[in-house]
Amino acid sequence: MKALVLNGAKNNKSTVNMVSDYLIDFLRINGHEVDVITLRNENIASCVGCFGCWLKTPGECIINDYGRDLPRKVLQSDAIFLLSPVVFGMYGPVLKKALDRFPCPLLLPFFTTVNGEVHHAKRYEKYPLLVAIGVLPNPDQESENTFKTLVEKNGVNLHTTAVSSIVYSTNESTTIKEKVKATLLKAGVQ
Amino acid sequence: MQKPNQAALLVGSPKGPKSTSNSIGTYLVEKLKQKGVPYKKVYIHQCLKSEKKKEDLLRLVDESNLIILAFPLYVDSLHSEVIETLELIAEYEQDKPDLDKKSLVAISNSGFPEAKQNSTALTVCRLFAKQVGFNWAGGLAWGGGGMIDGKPLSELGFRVRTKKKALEMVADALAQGDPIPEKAVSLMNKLGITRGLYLIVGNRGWKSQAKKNIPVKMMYAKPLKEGSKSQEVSD
Repeated sequence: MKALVLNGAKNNKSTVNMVSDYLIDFLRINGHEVDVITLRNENIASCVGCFGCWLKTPGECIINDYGRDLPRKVLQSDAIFLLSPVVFGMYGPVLKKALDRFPCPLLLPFFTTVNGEVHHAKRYEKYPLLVAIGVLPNPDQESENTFKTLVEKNGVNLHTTAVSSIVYSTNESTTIKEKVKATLLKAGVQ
Repeated sequence: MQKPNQAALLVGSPKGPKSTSNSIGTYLVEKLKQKGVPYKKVYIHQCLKSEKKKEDLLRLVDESNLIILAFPLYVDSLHSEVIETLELIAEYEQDKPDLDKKSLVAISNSGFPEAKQNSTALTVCRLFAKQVGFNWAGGLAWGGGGMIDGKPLSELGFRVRTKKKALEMVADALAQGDPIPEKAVSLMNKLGITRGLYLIVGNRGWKSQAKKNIPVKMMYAKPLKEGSKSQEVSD
């Protein structure tokens, strides 16, 4: 399996990096091909909402930076892993900047219905599994529920299966390791 | 909730003045102004470009006791610049006194006809208010934002009359120091036209916009499919 890991840690000290390291180890030990992007180190501009990827250069962003490469990397993967601190129940800005750049090029502008709800239609036949691991300092039920709902919605919009989990930065490293492993099992990644 | 001394409108769309978020937010604050509540407006996209402009935004939030955040739905949540701004505000306001005398209103808009698709984004805003210590005065979800396309609401007629009425109700309530009434939330959730018609008009609209640049059949291109060539993209 080809895995793409998007590390949305804000800095070197973030627990997201530990999650990323454990995840990469597990994936590689089990024979999966892993591409890792430490997003804070890449030149990715925020989406400007121009719809160029629908109306001028369909399927490709008009901004010439690393963000233009992301949709290709996503599509060429069997699974993408979104790693981020949980900020008010959603992804932090480092990951979100990248995430804002790839759904539109991967989808058509045209509306379709999925389970009775309107979404943008698929541009391609198949999309990778989406796995999101969020990091919180401590248990926070509302934030965790919101994060889970958000990831589920992202899965629907990206016409794929989405799985999420939460780890706490106050956990022991062994606990974090076990939680990452459990997330992979939940996602059906052996 | 206190009566507002001043409203701060934070427009969260990268399109700034030409955005639907600006149209909606400005309509609301203009109604508030008519009821004696002055306002100032900033565009988040511009504010994040320099330290000075970030400081200006933070000072504006500090001096206002009604914060109105109007933003577009991005991947079921907030645009990266909006979540970045909320983090900045949270850090700036930390440990300051009387934060609960400051109220937050959030208005999320999306091109999908179902207003409920904005619900998670509004929950994020509510959690922000809770964690910072602001009073949560409520959220509004605007579905069918494609009907506005950045035009001032005052120039749009029957298509948005129910939603304009909702904003007027909200302005009445906020000016009195009350949160967003449930009736306004329900009115705002109404699309104004049938969903089927919205989809037909919407899909035709995409084609008609694309035709200015490319043949319609090119809209279905798959440039990332193996073997496909990248299109020429000018810098």
